[in-house]
Amino acid sequence: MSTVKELAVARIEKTSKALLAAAEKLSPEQGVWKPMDKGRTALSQVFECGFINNNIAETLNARDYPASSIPELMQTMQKAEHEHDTLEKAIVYLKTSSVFLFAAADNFPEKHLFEEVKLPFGMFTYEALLFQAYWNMSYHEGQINYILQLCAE
Amino acid sequence: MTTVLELVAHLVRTSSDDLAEIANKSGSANFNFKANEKARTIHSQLTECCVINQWTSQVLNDRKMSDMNMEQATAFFQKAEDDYDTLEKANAFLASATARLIAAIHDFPVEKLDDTLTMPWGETRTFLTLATLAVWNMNYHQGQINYIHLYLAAEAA
Repeated sequence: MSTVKELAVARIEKTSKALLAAAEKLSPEQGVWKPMDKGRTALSQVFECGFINNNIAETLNARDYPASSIPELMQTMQKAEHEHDTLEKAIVYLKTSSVFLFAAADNFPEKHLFEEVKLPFGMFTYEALLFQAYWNMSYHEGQINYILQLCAE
Repeated sequence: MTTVLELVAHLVRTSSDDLAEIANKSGSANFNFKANEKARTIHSQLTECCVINQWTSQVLNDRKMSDMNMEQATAFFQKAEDDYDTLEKANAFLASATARLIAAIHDFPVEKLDDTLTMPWGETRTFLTLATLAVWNMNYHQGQINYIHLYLAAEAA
């Protein structure tokens, strides 16, 4: 496993499993809990990881980002969030989009990994997008486990 | 074309910089804040990242797993937490441990990357996936430390 692509696929797979394991420990009440009724819920984070994985998979497959502007992206995201409005639905979405992302990453030609693609926020290499998905899931795995610690009171 | 070792070194650098930025967000005031008895402090998490970076650099440099068992590792971590008991000291520790780890990654022979070792907690990893453990760990604790800031902001509102 000594190529950048193989490393990315393996890390994404491992991190998505760890994130799912953390999310599956949450009760439905913990999924919508937020400190002092402010801050971010675990449900919102699980959904976001699913949405980002899905978007990155689509970008790798089409060599084009699925939204051409930030308002278009926000509109798509709000619609998807409305469709995945329970912890159960968001977990299924994260599982599906993670499998979609492994497949897209695995099928992506290594030689094109460092080419750039235009996103509404600027130019990114495909490699950077893959490790963005990895970073995002590791970050939210940390936050969801922290929420579990806070709810253990 | 970036090599896999250059990429991992780059990920260590950016994860460490992002972690330091988040850890310093509210200064020293909340370094030892605990939302409840089970929740970890910024101090504990930042020290853990430093210890993991330093330990990983040692394993990469030695080309073999350290002899430290989990009990010794826990004692080592506890001593580090006592020694690096201010934000300033922990920042300096993170800077030095990250620099050591990046140097160890750059010096590591590519032909040994897929050799395997057994972690003190029983998991089998290659040297390459061991090197990425530090990246995952820093990203994970960046998320937790940022959630402490969110918690504190909610409490203050």
